[in-house]
This record gives sequence, structure tokens and C-alpha cells, in this order.
Amino acid sequence: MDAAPPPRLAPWWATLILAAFCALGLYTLLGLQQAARRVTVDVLDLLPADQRDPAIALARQAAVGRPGRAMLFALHDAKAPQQAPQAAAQKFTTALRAEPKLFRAAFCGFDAPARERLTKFFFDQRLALRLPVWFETKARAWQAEGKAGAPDPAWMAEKTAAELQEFLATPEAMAMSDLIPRDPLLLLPTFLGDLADLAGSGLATGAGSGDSGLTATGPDGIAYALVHAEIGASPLEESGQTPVFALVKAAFEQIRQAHPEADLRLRIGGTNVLAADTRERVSGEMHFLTNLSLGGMILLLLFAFRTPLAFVHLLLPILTAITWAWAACFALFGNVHLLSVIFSTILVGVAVDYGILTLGYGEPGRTSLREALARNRLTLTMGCLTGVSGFLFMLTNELPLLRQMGLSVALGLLFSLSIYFLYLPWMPALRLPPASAAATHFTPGGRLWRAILIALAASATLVAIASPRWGDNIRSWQQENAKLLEDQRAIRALFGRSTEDTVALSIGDDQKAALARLESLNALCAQRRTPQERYLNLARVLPSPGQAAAARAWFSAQPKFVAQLKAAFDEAGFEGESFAPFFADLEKFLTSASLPDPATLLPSLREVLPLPLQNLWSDEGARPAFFATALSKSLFEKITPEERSRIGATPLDQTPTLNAALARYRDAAFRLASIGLLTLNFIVICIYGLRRGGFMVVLPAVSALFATAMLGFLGRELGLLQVVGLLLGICLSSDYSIFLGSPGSLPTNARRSIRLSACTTLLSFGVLLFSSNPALQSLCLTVTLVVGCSLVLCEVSQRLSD
Amino acid sequence: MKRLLLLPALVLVSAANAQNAPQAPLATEAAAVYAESHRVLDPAKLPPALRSVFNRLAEADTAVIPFIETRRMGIIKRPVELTGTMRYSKKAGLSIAYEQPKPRVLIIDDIGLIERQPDGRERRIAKNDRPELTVLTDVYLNLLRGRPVGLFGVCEVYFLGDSKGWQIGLIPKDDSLRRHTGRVLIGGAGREIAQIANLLENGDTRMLRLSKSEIDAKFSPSVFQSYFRTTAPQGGEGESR
Repeated sequence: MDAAPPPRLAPWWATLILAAFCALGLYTLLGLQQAARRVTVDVLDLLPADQRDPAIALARQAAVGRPGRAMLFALHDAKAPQQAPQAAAQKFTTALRAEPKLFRAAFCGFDAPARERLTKFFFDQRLALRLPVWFETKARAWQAEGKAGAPDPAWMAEKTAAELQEFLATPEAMAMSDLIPRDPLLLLPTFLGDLADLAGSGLATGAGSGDSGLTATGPDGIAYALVHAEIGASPLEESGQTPVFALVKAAFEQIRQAHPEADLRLRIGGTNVLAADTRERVSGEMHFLTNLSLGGMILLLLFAFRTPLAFVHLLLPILTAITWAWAACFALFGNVHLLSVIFSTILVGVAVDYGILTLGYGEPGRTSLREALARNRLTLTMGCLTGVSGFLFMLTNELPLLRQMGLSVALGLLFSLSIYFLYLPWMPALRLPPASAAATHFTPGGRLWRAILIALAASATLVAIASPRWGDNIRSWQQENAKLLEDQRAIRALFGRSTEDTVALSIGDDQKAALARLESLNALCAQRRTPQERYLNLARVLPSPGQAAAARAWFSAQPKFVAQLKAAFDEAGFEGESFAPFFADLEKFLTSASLPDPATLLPSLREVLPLPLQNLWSDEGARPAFFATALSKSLFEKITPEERSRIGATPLDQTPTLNAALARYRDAAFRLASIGLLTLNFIVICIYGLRRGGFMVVLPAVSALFATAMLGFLGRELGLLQVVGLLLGICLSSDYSIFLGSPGSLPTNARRSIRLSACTTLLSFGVLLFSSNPALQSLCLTVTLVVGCSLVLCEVSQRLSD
Repeated sequence: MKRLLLLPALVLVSAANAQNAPQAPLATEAAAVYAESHRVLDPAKLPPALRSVFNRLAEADTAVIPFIETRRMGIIKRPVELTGTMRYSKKAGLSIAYEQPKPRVLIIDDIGLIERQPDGRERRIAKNDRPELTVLTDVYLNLLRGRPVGLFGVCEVYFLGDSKGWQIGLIPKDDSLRRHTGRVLIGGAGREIAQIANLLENGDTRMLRLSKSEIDAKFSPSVFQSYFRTTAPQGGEGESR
């Protein structure tokens, strides 16, 4: 080669301009990051916000809506573990309520005014809320006696009088003696019983306990005072975490000081606790691992190039490219998942390959980097396009994770190569250690092809033997803290949540539709339950539309019932006149022109119910709407999937649904990436011919098959992330096979570039194998296997070259 | 909520140590006990007869007492009658087992209240959960255990009579409790409690007549399991004798 002419732009000017461009990118990125919640760790953020599956949409709604905003506090006194510190809990609750922006509500038990409000509400609305339930109970008893049709009014009257007589012999009757004259149908006492069942059930939101509403004794015999609170912000946002925890800490410190005689301890449960822990641990671990990876890569490059100038040549362009790629991603996507962010850091290991190859061809005084780039233009372009094409196709997928990864990697690679093309021509070639191998050109001949075909067949056979299974588990995407999870479960158990129960959601397009579906669920449960099984939901205190309509129809058809009931009371020995106020209320209610629809009472009901029970149904106006039911797992299993689908009953645990959604996304990603790669492979074969192009295509395919087989042998399922890993691995392998197989490439330079590129990649992915996040670990294992196999194949191919 | 309605039942408890059913003033005749002149203000200065009652109550570790309860309510012409058996254990608390007309067991102890159905279903309420329940459990536990000091903190205490015939009148200081239980009147003769009455503000009354009781009865583990919160308390109360 001739000596290169002196560059028109001094290298330090070029570096300065690039550094300024990089700084501008960083500034833009930081500006975009100012918005709250840009990087998320929640798996639900990996799914589309406008997810069409209502169950998943609801899971999202539940995670950030009212149910997800619940915080549970369990206070105990280590000095007096048998005595729940109720007074301290009340002060703690008051302190939380003092900051309504952070805590929308806090509840540690009913105070007298709240109890009065609830009782008054139900007393005032007892006919609207309880008469339909009363009628249905009687109608069921009528049918249980083998009688057909609508209940006979005389029988109803006698039954009612007999029940009132029985009630008078119960312990609670004396306390109700003031109420009974206005409520001889016992609508309020039965409601109180149902409400107690409901509050004691725990449900999803936690309420009640073995002994009482808001105190509980743990399995360790310690008595806890319980506080149920609701935060104002989403538990996944920063505003639902740091300031909330600060307030809790301050409030707890305040009550500790107020009770110096006690040794108070506080246990905290909540989605935000888990989310904050995950964020902290993932961020800490990822910082450490990525720094380790980058540090290792720097040492490797330093060892290979023996000059720190290599960093300016290689890494500054990549840093600039990544910065701008992420600026584009943050501008385009609202929230970006941490997995995508981590994925972008390993882009360094991919993009650096182009620089390494270029630097390898440069030689001070003989071959400038401008000439090296010109010589390898096609090789670099094709290598880059292979990678870009696979990832660019991911943009057509609905899954935010794939779109974020696809865009960041594709843009990162494109920007990197573009910057190399723009920047390196102005930089001096580096003096590199001499390559050891002979400078003969690489030619894939018959001997190599035979070996490649044997390797292809062997890999395919291994895949058949290993028979890897397809499968996704979204739980593995989230780095769970087993100890913290166990503690959270223990806290929820204190609030009455039973491991024998499950929570099902009755979902409808709106509240009315959801209520109708709740009625269907209750009908099935009533039909199939054994005495040991239970189901509890708002229907305990709110009649369904069907119940209300049936009761109205019966009362309309039985105008003499009121007179018959009066007679039955007289006959049973009651002072008929005592019930005059009740009969006045009943007649007024039955003759009212517009009987109230019980569902219209939902907003008022939410206002008077204790906080945990306010979360039994979705917010007014929310779509889709839901009603929650706590029911025995065995009872829910008696309802077939078809029936569940028909009545809109969905388990709150959406893991299977989410996994099914991931499988759909995986298939789509696989299909789209395959189309992209096949297209590029076709172009490669067209450009380089069948022999060379074929080699460039088959080598990555063998590596991918080998990796797939190994994953099967290791017992790993092929999920979405494995598919992405295979795709990335194929892109990297394609780089190596193109570097090696290009007609103009010198094997000495190609070998050095491939070895160095593969080592940097293996280093960056290998370090992440130590991540405690199973999903990331699987992804990196896949890439490591493909790239490792590719490196070996490239080495063998050179030896078998003609 | 329903559990809260069980509170009035707790007023039955103070009869646990009665041995006989001696003659005693009827509750309806006993309004005189609530005269201000009969109020006992200082637990340290109890009338001798009242001190004797407390001392006697404190002596018993266990007791089994059959009873008949009569309720008179304004809404029904005939009184409602219930029968059953009380079981008292100094450590495990009081169990009131109604037998007629419907079987049901109420258990009142240091933790709170349990209502147990014949099929084993239970409703529980801890006394810490409701202040008035704490008051009520304090009342009966202090009475049964012969500790008058706690009683004076939560009730106005009245006493009338002498060792041959006496009445203790209690008026809960807590409004809610007073509304639910009314005034509580305990009548007895000598060292025995004969009856307990609740006099509600609306005129309804409940009268509990106690039969001859068995003091320091032996409770088998199955009795503890059926009639109390837990199995036999540590120390083997009732089992060793």
C-alpha cells in the first residue's frame, strides 16, 4: 500500500467533535430521563399497555390501581409480645393519614363514628340491599322442601315469624331489641353476619384475621396490631416508594418515642416494597456486572492493541451511538424495561467488532484507516445489516420489550458503523502487534464444505436428541427476593389471607356487566360447593340484578303478603303493634314508583365500608370492570375453563395467561426475525456467491443449532428470551463468518478480529451469566453458546480452508 | 359486626361460682340498689359482705352451673326461655353452653369472645378490637377471679343488703356497652349468687337463674376442647383434681 496522505482534519479535532456529539447525546438522554418512571423493573411493563386480553389488562390495572396500592403494616411490642400495641397502631394510622398526598387512606379498625355511618347506611338501605337476598333465601328454602313455583306468601309469612322467634333465643337478640320492631325480617342481623364473613375472609387486599378485624396473632404467638393503608401514587413509581417509605419511617419513629415503655417493631408489606427491593437489587447488581464487563473488555482491548488510543478509536464511537440510540428509544417509548437497558450495554460487544476489524487492517505509514474502511466497506456493511435486519423486524412486534430491544440494538449498530465510517478516516492507524499466521486468502473449498455439512447434520441430530421444549415463564423475568417474598406472605397471612383460597375476578366491559357475571359465578359456586368450601364476594352485602328483579316481581305479584305477615306475627305471639314502623317502611318501599337499583349504591357503599373491602370491585368508570371473589381453590377448580370463559371469571394470578401471551410474542418474534434473516441471507448469497455466501450463512446456523441442542441438554426451555438470544448470536456469528469469508479479507487480520470480537462478546455476556436474574442468565447463556461455537467453527474453518 | 352483638351475653358470666340457688331479691324489685347512697366508690373500702362475696368467688378454680334464662321483650307476649350450662375455669375463662332451644357455645376469656356453632363453625372477636368488649371482659374476669379493683374502673358499683341477702348493681361507664347490656344486677344470699339480670333502657329484661353448681369440677381434655378456646391450660387445672 502507498503511504496515506495527511488527513485534512486533525485527529484531535475529530475526537473533540465526536466527544461533543456524544456529550450532546448524553444531555438529551438525561433530559428525557427527567420524566418520572423511565426505567421500569415491572414485568407487566413488558406487555403492551393496550393489551387486548382483558385479563392481562386487568392484571396491569390491579398492579397500579387500588389493589396494588395497598400497604399492610403489622406492629408488635417485643417486650410484651402477647399484647397487640393497638394504641401505637392508632397513632401510626393518624400519622399516615396526616399526609393525604402520600396515603390516600389508612385503617386500623372502626372507630365509633365510622361504625355508626356503616350501620346507619345499611339500616336506611336495608330494604334495597337486603330484601332481595332475604327473598332468595326463602325461595331456596321453599324449593328445598320440594315445592315448585314461586313461594306461597302464607308459607313465607309463617316462616318469617318462626325465624324471628328463633332469633329471640340467640345471644345477640337482646342487643337488637331496639332494632327488631323496625326490622323483623332480620335484614340487618344477617347483613352483619355476612359482612363479618367478608371482612374475615382476607380477600386479595387483606382484612380480618383469626380473632378480629385488625389484630392478629402470628404462628409465633406474637400479637400484632394491623394497619391497612392505601398509597396515593402507583406502587411502581418512585413517588409511590421513596417518599412513602420516608413517611413510614418518620411515623414509626414518632410512635416509638411516644411509647418508650415498649420495644415496638414494624413489619411492612406492599407491592411497592417488593418493587423497590427489586429495583435496588437489580440496579446494584447490573451496575456491578456491567462495570465488570466493560472493565474486562477494556483490559482485553488494551492487551490486544497495547495502546490506550484504541479506546478513543473503538469505544467513543460506540458510546456516542448507544447514547443516541437510547435517546431515540426513550423519546419513542414511555417506559423502558431494565432488561432492555441491560441488553443495550452488551451492544458494545457487538458494535466493537467493526472497529476491531478496521483497526486490524490499518498499518501506520502503509494503510490508513480510511483505506482500511474502504477495503472492508462491503464486509462491514453486510455484517452490520445482518444484525440490524433481525432486530429491526422486532419493531413490528407488539411486545414492548422486543420493540425496545429491537430499536436500541438496530439503531446502536447502525449508528456505530456510521460513526466509524465518519470518524475513523480522520484517525491515525495504530501500530498493532504482528499477526502470526500466514497471509493466505480464505477459500471455502470441498473439504471445508464437507466438514460444515457434517457439523450441520450433527447439530441437527443433537437438537433432535435433546428435544428442547418451548415454554415461557414470566416469573423468571422478575428477580424475586425469596426471603422478602416469604415475609410478605407472612404479613398477608396476618391480614387473613388463606393459602387454601384463591381470588377470582369477574370481569365485564363495565360495572353492570361485571356484576351480572359475578351473579353467574355465585350461581355456579352455590351449585357445586361442599359445606367445607366457601366463596365470598360483594354479593354478600349487595344483591345482584337478578336477585333484585326476582324479589320485585314476587312482591308485585303478592299484594296480600304484608297482611299475611302481620297475621303470622300475631299468631306467633308477637305484639303486632310493635312492628308498625317496619310495615310502614315496607309498604312505602314496595309502592315506590322507582325502586332503587342496588348497583347504584356502589359508590355510597364504598364510602362506608372499611378500607380493605373498598377494593372488592374496580373503580367507578373503570374499563374493564371487575368484582373480586375469594373462594376455595378446590371450588374454583370445579369450574371448567370453558365455564370460566363464559362467565368472565379469571384468577387474579395471571401467570398462565401472561405466559401464554409471551408464547404468542415469542412465535411472532421468531417468525419476524426469521424472515429478516432469511432475506439478508439471500442477499449475502447473491453478493458473495453460493460457496462463500453459503459459508457465511451456514456457519451461524450450525452455531444456533448447537446452542439449541445444548439448551435442551441443560433442561432449559426455549422461551422468548432464548429466541432473542439465538437471534443475537446468529447476528454476531454472521459478522465473524462474513469477516472470514469475504473475498478481500486477509485471514491473519480476520482471525485476529474474530478472536478479539468473540472474546469481547463472550466476556460481556459471560459476566452476565452471574446475574441472579434467571431471564438474563438464560439470554446470556444462549448468546455465549452460539458465539463460543462460532469461534470454534471459524478456527476450524481456517484450518480446513483451501 | 355480628360478633359485636354477642356482647350482652357476657353479662351472664358473673354467676360462675354460685353453688346453690338461694332465695334472692328479684331483679325487678331491685331498683333500690341503684340509689346513690348505695354506691361503692372505693374498692379499698368494700362493705364486709361485698368483700366476702369477692373472696368467695376467688376461691374457686372451676365450676359447672346449670341455668335457666328468661327474656322478657316488648315485642313478644310470652317470655323466651333458654336453658344451658356454664363452665368456668380460672385460667381458661368462661363457657356458656346453651342447650335449649338451640345449642350454641359462647366462650369468654382473656383474648376475647368466641361463638361456636354445633357444627364447629366459629365467630371470634378479640377484646383488643373493641374497647367495650375489653371493658366487659374486664368486668366478668375481675368478678369471677374476685378482683374488684378492675371492676371499679369500668363500672359504677352499687351494693345493697347484708350477708343474708344482697344485690350488686353495675352500670357500665361505656355508653355503647350500657346501651347493649343495660344495668346489670347480681343477686345472692350468703356467699351464693342466685341470679343475674340485665335491665335494658327500653324495658326489656333478661333474668338468669342459677341452679346448684359443682365447684372445682374436673374438666377432661375433651371438655376443654368443646367448651373453651384451647385445650387444657398449662398447669393441669381441673385435670389433677
